Amino acid sequence: MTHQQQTQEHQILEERIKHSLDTSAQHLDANTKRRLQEIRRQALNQPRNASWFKTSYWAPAGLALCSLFVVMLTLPYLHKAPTAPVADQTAMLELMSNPDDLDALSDPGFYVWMDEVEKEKDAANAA
Amino acid sequence: MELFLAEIEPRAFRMAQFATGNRDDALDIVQDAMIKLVQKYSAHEESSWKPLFYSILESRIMDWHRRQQVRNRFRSWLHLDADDEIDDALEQHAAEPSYMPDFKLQDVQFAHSLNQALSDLPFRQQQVFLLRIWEGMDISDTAKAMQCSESSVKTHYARALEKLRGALKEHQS
Repeated sequence: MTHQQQTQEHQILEERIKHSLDTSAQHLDANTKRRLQEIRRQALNQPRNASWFKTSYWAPAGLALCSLFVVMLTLPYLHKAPTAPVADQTAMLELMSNPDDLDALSDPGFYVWMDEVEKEKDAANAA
Repeated sequence: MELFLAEIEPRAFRMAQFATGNRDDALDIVQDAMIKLVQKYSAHEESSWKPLFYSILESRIMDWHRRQQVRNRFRSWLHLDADDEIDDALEQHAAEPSYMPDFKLQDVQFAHSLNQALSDLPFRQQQVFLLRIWEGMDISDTAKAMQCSESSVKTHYARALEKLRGALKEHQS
């Protein structure tokens, strides 16, 4: 038997099977038909899930929540981080702009004192 | 949704009946599948209802088979006689062609042999064959409904067709 003949034979068999199955479904007994109608009615009366519950809505909602979480985590650091260097720079500017303190800048003892203050600061930070 | 269910229900019932061999169990399975489809998936696109419905139906049939296995194990432990059940099943099978009075004798005989051959197929081959040939579902939708790969669908279908061809040989002219 050639491949074409075999394919043709399969098609005929499939058609006959389909026809036989269709007939059996069309000729269900009255009892079964009635039960199926009842089942359908009962199913249609069931409460349905609201459309907002659909999966497609969870993706944007999840993304928004994640963004909010990230912002909440990073916000305190954004405010705190520049505080210390800015304060140091301001103090330095004040020191240099005051004419009385210019004398102090030319005194070597001032630098020894500054060095000690810095060392104390480092020791406090390390602790 | 109502039109969809009305259109699908006789075929779904027959598929469940082929899988279980029992009218009442088939009706229960169809009921469960319809209720779950309406409750969970009414808001989905209409084109997805068919694969979803058959996916639910298939899992309900699998649950039924598991329960039956446990029940049969208990029966064998307790040495219960299964004769009554076999008689019921035979009555149901024997009663099937009576609702086709206008049919030619050869068609009735073909329907008998087809029922038997389909019931004898392994479950997955049976369901894939029915979804493809009867529901007209394509390979992709059948794979979704059966929760298997497309190549498995092709294999199941080819094997089922070959077995049915052998079983229905005497009816082929």
